Amino acid sequence: MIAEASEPMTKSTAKVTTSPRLWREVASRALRGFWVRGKLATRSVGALRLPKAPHPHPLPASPGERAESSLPSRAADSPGRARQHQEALIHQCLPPRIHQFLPPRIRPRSATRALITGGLLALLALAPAACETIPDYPNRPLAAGSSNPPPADLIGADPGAPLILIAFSGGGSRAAALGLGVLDELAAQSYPATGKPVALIDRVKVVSSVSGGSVVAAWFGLVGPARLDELKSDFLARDNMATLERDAADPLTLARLSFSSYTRIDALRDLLDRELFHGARFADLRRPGAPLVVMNASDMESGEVFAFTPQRFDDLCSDLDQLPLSVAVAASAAFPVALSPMSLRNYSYEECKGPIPGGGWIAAELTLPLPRYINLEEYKRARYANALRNGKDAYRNEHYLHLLDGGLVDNQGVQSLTEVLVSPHSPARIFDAINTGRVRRIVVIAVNARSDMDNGVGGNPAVPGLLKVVNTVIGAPIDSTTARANASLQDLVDRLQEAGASPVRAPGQPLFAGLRVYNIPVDFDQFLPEQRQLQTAVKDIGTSWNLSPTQLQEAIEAGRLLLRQHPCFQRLLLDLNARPAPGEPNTIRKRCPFEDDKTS
Amino acid sequence: MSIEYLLVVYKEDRDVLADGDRVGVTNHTILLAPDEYIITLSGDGYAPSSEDVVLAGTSIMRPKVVVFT
Repeated sequence: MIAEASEPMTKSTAKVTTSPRLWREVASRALRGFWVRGKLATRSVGALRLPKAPHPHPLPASPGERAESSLPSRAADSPGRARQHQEALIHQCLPPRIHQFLPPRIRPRSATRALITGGLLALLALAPAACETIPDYPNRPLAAGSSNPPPADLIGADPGAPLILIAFSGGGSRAAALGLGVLDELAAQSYPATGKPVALIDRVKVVSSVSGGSVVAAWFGLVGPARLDELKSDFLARDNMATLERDAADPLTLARLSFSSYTRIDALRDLLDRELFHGARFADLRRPGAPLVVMNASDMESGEVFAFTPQRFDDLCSDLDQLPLSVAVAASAAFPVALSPMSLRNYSYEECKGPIPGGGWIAAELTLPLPRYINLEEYKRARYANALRNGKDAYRNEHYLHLLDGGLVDNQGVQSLTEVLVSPHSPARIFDAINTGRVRRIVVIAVNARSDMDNGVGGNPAVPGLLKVVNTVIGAPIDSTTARANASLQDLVDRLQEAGASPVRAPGQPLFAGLRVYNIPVDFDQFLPEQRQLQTAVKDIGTSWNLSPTQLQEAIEAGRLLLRQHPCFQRLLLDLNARPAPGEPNTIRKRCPFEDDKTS
Repeated sequence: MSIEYLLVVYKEDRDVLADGDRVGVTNHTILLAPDEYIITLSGDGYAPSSEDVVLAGTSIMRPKVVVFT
């Protein structure tokens, strides 16, 4: 894949040699399981080679550079230029979702030595990757007869205070930085309340997250607004990919992967703990005023969303408070094949003492005749919970939970957010608060860090290669599932808006009359035309655990800007009498109207 | 996702429970996700002891009405 710097390439020769560094990187990635089995590994590595024919979709050429060949002989004019060219070739040949596994820098050396070194390392790497390992399960059983404590009251005493729920999508460090920008903006805006101004960030009461979004969600839940910024210095500004690669190439890691219960997901968990969480556990999220943090993974057995909540851990008869946050974040970000699943033990099948509380709704859903016809999703959730609890007539056995990236099922975290919002069985009790008039303003912010890189397929007459096809097979369903989840959320918000617009004197004198729900999706497609440069920059950030200082700044700025200029966020500020006023009131009302505007 | 409307009528103010979880109070319309629920009240002394309620196709002007005595 990499042209030797000492051997300038031409179109006619185009014999591709390899750099040892690249092969070591290949081996390093294989170590972490990017290529699972030997057969696939061979084919995949082979797929990395450049085509002998001129590439039909050449890289963007600098002025004066010939564009007819993707292998211009001048690629090696200077080491820096050659490196740039090599990196560009890699990024061209491999799909964006795979960029996270590429090295930050690649230096060409002897191809022969590279092949030998790389081959040996790959062999070493593939052995543990292909084997099944019995891990050290990180979760512990609940004490006899106990259950996980529910979250503290999220509602508060002031019905007019906004109740803010946020969903942070996946997308590696790009997603975490975007989420940080959104939280920064919420910290910068306040509204007058009795006594003193209240910052909006202090009204964030539920955070649901996936993958990279879970880094910022867990950090915010752990430290709150005061130390939020440390996420930049302690994690986002660091070259975490280089750290992971160093770890992977460490002989000790190799030995652990080969001969112990250490698995590839443990490397990410260890990194998160070392750099950011320092062994913090879910119990540490119980600080005063902290939001309910719901990190989401995908259950390999059932294909269901697995949310790290007290309720779900009751199902497992497991103690959530004792679980390290890094385990949940890593599980939420366990991108398939690249990382191994995070495994949990289900104690309901063996060590659970006494009945598990909170099963009334499960029994009702599964025994009443109509739930499966009226609300199939809720019925399936009950069926899943029953299976986890080892309940009567469980539809499948789940002695062990093997969890992958939450993005496989819902890359936005919206499903869990919706469940927290409307399920009568959620410990957050938000519907109860709506129905009793204890909350009048609900704000739903769904932050989508979906990148939109040009993968070159549309401009290339050649049939796309295996990796690009695989990228589409992985990416397209994730994006469409996310879009469907967002549409479902919008539908729910619309229904709640209708309910909120009910006259107070409607039958039954509803206490929810006057409820307002501010739906604020944050998406890179919402930039204004004059912000095209920033839009292009953030959309082009690959999914990785590494951001350049500029990318970090841009992603944070994008989060702040997109939230600040959203019409319904401005409407929220207007309704809360925030100062300075976000703009001309009538204009803001027109851009984010409520049905009761005419009467209020 | 649709939203349904339930009105539980009782002679005094009580919590309304759906499948054992508190979802609102008596004599005020309640929002709930569409489903089949076992509705009960907090405390005792009411009849029947529970109601099997199918919540679908309701509206704010025509909520499902359940009466406890």
